[in-house]
Formats: sequence, structure tokens, C-alpha cells
Amino acid sequence: MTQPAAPASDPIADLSKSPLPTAKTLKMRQSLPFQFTRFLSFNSRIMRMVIKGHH
Amino acid sequence: MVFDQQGFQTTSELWTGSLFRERGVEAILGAHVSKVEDGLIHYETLDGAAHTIGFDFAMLIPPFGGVPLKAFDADGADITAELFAPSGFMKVDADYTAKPYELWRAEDWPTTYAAPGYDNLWAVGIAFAPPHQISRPHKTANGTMIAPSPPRTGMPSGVMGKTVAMTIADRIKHGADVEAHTASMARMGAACVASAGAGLTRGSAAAMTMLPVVPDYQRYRTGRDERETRGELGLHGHWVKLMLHYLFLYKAKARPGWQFIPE
Ligand SMILES: Cc1cc2nc3c(=O)[nH]c(=O)nc-3n(C[C@H](O)[C@H](O)[C@H](O)COP(=O)(O)OP(=O)(O)OC[C@H]3O[C@@H](n4cnc5c(N)ncnc54)[C@H](O)[C@@H]3O)c2cc1C
Repeated sequence: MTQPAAPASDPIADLSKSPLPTAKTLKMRQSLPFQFTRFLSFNSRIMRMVIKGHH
Repeated sequence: MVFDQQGFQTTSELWTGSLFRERGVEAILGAHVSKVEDGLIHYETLDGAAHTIGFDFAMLIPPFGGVPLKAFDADGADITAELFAPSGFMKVDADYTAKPYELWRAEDWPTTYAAPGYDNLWAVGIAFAPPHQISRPHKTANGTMIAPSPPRTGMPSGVMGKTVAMTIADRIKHGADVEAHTASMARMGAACVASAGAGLTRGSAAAMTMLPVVPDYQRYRTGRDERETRGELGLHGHWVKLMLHYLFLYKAKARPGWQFIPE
């Protein structure tokens, strides 16, 4: 296999424009009561899909 | 994938970028791995440039392919090319007419998973040949295809399998003329839970739902139902992943009440 003389450096994607979560967002992602409501919400969405979305 | 989040359209790309930035993950996009050596991965990017990157731990998902089966008719003639696509996937009731991305339609996707011309052959899950990709395919300057596969993950595979099983059961019970059950990937939804940390109180996962799996730009502005297509990152995702793990293993073992656990 032929190798390029000097392989280009890794083309790492520029993520500096991606939004960083705020301290509050990070806290909410771990908050037990809030996450429990998200758990229920996700389960109801997945069940809606099972019931109506499969055809 | 486009999500509706707090009144704004957000893309899964932005979402992933945010998580990578938060965790200090460096991403290389639009790349095709050509060779793996001990501790060194060779890859090619869309501009055709060759690169290498070192690793001490790697997980690669190869391009999907079918099982290399051969098919012969009653006279012994090789009909492999009639039954299977070159990738090894079995051709089913999809529209395989080659057409550009702009003309891809939801109706191209199969609904019964029966092989054309055979009432006793089906292919579901990874095994069936998709009519095309679901996002615009890219080619590197050297002609290497970089095209994400349609996500025939656990949930859609399970639904397709169940649909075909019901067709077969119906035909055994009531005769070969009974109409087939249908389930198109352009109509069905799917959930995906990607782990981002373990632990009952400190864990985390990205929990997403999408409807339909194959985007339908004729029916939905963003290709998918915005009410049902959502994603969220948090501890609850880990709970969901853990719950599904136990539920599916229970179901697979056919323990009492397994029928009530949905796919
Ligand atoms: C690394 C990885 C991670 C994944 N993570 C997830 C996830 O988190 N969630 C999710 O939903 N999906 C996930 N998936 C995808 C999911 O595993 C597949 O979509 C799903 O298993 C496909 O089901 P299937 O029945 O079509 O194929 P398979 O599960 O591959 O079943 C095919 C079966 O056929 C058997 N077989 C092959 N050849 C023959 C032969 N000649 N004769 C008889 N039997 C044969 C094989 O042994 C195999 O058991 C993941 C996949 C990979 C590779």
C-alpha cells in the first residue's frame, strides 16, 4: 500500500460552536424527582409508538 | 434527525456535538476506515485524504452485509442474483429501481418482507435488502462510498419479525390466500437509548424516539413526526436502558407473562 509522504493531521471536527449545557441543565439531568417525570414521559412515548406506530 | 426541543428545531448533530464538547470527545466525521493495524487505524476522509490515528482501545462497526447464501432453483440453476442483492441481503417487496436521492419515497420501503414470486420466503431485520439509504450518500474523492445504513436496530427488527410470524401463522391456520400482515419502516417508530454512564443515581443515557424510522418528507416537514421524535439526555435514560435489558431478557426466556412485554 502506498502511503502519502506526510499524512495530513487528523481532521478533528470543530465543536467550539456546539452549545455547552449550563450548570442548571447538568443538575436537572441528575435530579431524581425531575428525571422520574422524564422516565414516565419516555415510557408513555414508547408505548404510544408500540400501540399506534407499527403499521 | 431533527428534534423539537423547547420550541426550537434542534438537530441530533448539534446535540451530539454538545455532548462531545461537554465530555471533551474529539470527533472525526465523514471517514471510512480502510485498514486496522496493531494500535493504528488507517482511514480516508471525504476529500480523499489518507490519515492514520493511534488507539489503545477501539470498537468498529463494519458495514452491514448479508449472509453469503447461494440459491438454486428446482433444476439446479443458480438464482442467487435473482434472490439476493450483491451485498448479500435478500430482495423483498421493496421498490429497487435505482433513482436519485431527491426521488426516494416512503413507498419504496417493503411492507410484507416476502420475496417476490415466492410465498414461503421472507427476510426481516438486517437480512432484507433496503431499497436505498435514508440519508444522502457521500463519496470520497477516491470513489469510496460513505453512506450511513438505515438503522435496522432491535426494535424495528423485532416488529418486522413479529409481522412475518403473524403472516405465516395465519397462512398455516387459514390457508395460503390470507393477506399478509404489514409493517413498513417508513411508518413504524423506534426508540434508541445510547448509554453515556452507568449507575442508578449517577448514570446517564441519551434516550430518543423517532417516528417514522425512514423519514417521509411528503408527510412531515422535517421527515418525521415532531411530536414523537424527541431526544433527551439524563439519568432517566439509564433507568430505561436497565429496564429494557431485564424486560427483553425475561421475554426472550418466555417466562410467565412474556406475551405482555411489547417490542
Ligand atoms: C455493536 C452493536 C451494538 C448494537 N446496539 C444496539 C442497541 O443498543 N439497540 C438496538 O436496538 N440495536 C442495537 N444493535 C443492532 C441490533 O443488534 C440488530 O439490529 C438486530 O440484532 C438485528 O436483528 P436480526 O434478527 O435482523 O439479526 P441478528 O440479530 O444478527 O440475527 C441473525 C441470526 O442469524 C444467524 N445466522 C447467520 N447465518 C446463518 C445461517 N447460515 N444459518 C442459520 N442461522 C444463521 C446468526 O447467528 C444470528 O443469530 C447493535 C448492533 C451492533 C453490531
